[in-house]
Amino acid sequence: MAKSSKSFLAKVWRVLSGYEIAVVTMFLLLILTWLCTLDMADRGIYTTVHAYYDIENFFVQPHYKFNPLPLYLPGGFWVCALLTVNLICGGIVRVIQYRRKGLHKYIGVLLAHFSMAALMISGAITSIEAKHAHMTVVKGETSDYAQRYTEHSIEVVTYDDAGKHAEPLVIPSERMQWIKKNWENTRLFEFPDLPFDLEVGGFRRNAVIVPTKSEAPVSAEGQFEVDGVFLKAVFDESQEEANSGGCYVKVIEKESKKETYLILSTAVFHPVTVTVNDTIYGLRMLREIWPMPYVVQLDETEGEYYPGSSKPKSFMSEITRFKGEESRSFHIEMNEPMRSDGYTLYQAKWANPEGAEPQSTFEIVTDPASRWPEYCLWVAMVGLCIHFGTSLAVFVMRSTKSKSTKQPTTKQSMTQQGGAE
Amino acid sequence: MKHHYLILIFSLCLPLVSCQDESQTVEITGKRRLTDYDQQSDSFDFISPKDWRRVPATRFRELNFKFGKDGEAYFSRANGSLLENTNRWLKQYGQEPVATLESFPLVDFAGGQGYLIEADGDFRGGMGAASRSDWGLIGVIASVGESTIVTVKMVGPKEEVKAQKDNFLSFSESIKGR
Repeated sequence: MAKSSKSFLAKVWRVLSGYEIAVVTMFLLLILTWLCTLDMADRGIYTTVHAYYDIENFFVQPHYKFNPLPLYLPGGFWVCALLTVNLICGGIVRVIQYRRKGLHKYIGVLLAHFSMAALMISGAITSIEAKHAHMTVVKGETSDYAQRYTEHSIEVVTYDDAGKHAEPLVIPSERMQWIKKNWENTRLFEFPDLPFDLEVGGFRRNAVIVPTKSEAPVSAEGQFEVDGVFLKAVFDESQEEANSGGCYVKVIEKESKKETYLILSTAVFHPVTVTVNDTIYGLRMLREIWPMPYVVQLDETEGEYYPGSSKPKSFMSEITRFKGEESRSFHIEMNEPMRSDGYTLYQAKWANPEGAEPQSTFEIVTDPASRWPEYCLWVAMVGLCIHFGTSLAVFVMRSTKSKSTKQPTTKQSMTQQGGAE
Repeated sequence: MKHHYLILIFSLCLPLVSCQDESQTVEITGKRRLTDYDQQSDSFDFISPKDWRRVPATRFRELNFKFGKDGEAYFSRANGSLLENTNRWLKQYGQEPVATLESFPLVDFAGGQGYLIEADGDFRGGMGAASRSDWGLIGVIASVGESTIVTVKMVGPKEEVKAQKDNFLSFSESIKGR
């Protein structure tokens, strides 16, 4: 039994560390990348990258011209995960083999090999943890927030008698993912600090609010009237930023159990209200807001396009970052971001509207592994330099040694033959 | 031997399928700091009555409220003159047009003053609205600048509109543009 177990594990190890897995996974990644690129042109980057490479998707059905292909492939994230396991296991096998021959001779190769495994792991961390938002600032003005164009949150504010409100309670975008998968999905959110709870559902990725006097809601599609209007799904835009998400919300009062329905939409730029226990509450769904830990002032900005085209040549910004009493200037341009407080600001867009000051849009990224690819490539370069350097040195030394041992034999033979001398 | 493979495959699959129930109830206590976004996101400051509910704005209703079953109140901008718009409102309720606005009282509205218009009766419809009987209107109309008219208007069942008059006047007075 023990012998059988050991050989079984050995077989598993052999498979996980073998070249076969590496070849198959790389081939799958090639196919996935190709199909994703084709699909992206129709369905947009946001939809396809999530469909092909999200951790939640174990399988993907590629589409072409919006039509699903009769084919299911393993999800890209899990193919990469298997390749990473293979790289690590294969690397360990090599270490064991090289120990017999002298590990120091192969240190360069091993450095390069494991740096590639680390690069794959950094990709996984980025895939799971990275978040993106955008901040647009007009020249001479400031901004203290960023906005995630592709993620939605729901906010609830409490109005005082002067019509003002304090900090909103937030249902974060991560908690909206289940609801956004299908309009039939609902989720109950409990608010311990409020006299009501919310049930959210009926989410549509791109929707318009339609008066019932012009069109009747279709109950089979989850449409129903709220205050004379209903939420109607329309064709999804390929650019996620162009979609106006909408959902139905049921306000459930804790004491009376009274239920009030509301429609929330990112196309509505203000809260809708409900009064509970003589207090007015505002609710809205919006593209998620990130309060920044500092204020950005755009001091100067310039942009240049290639002549006769809309292709950007160079965008640059001079900003001042205010953090409490401290202020510091930064220069940001394409491929030269600013890194501060866990956020990286990339120069993303630039615009110069007629009759107005120019403005810069920064893409803001939080990613715990943002610099890993750079470090991994440095390590790989060092490893390869060591390997090729030592190989070259060994080759030169052997060549020199070989020449020095051969030369006397050549002279002797020439003398014997009555040669040049 | 074969069952070892099955156990291995099952073990590998188990963490993949034992996902958290996505539909479970979530408790919300997290808040976010107020930012510049909160200053920019609404065009008006106002105090709305507690028995009104704010509903999505439309193209012609920048502030849009409902009350009761059919009551509506909304802030709009209009073209034309004060007199033209006032007579249009009166005509919708079967009332005779007026030659001057002097007979209408002035009330505080949006930092200035506007004419208070009241009418009731059978609403003849118009602007996409259906005709209604025993309907009421209370509205305030004022001019801003040279060619812009701003109005706040409340319509609905006559008795409901009458009951909301004080709320309406307080709301009209509180409106301030940002």
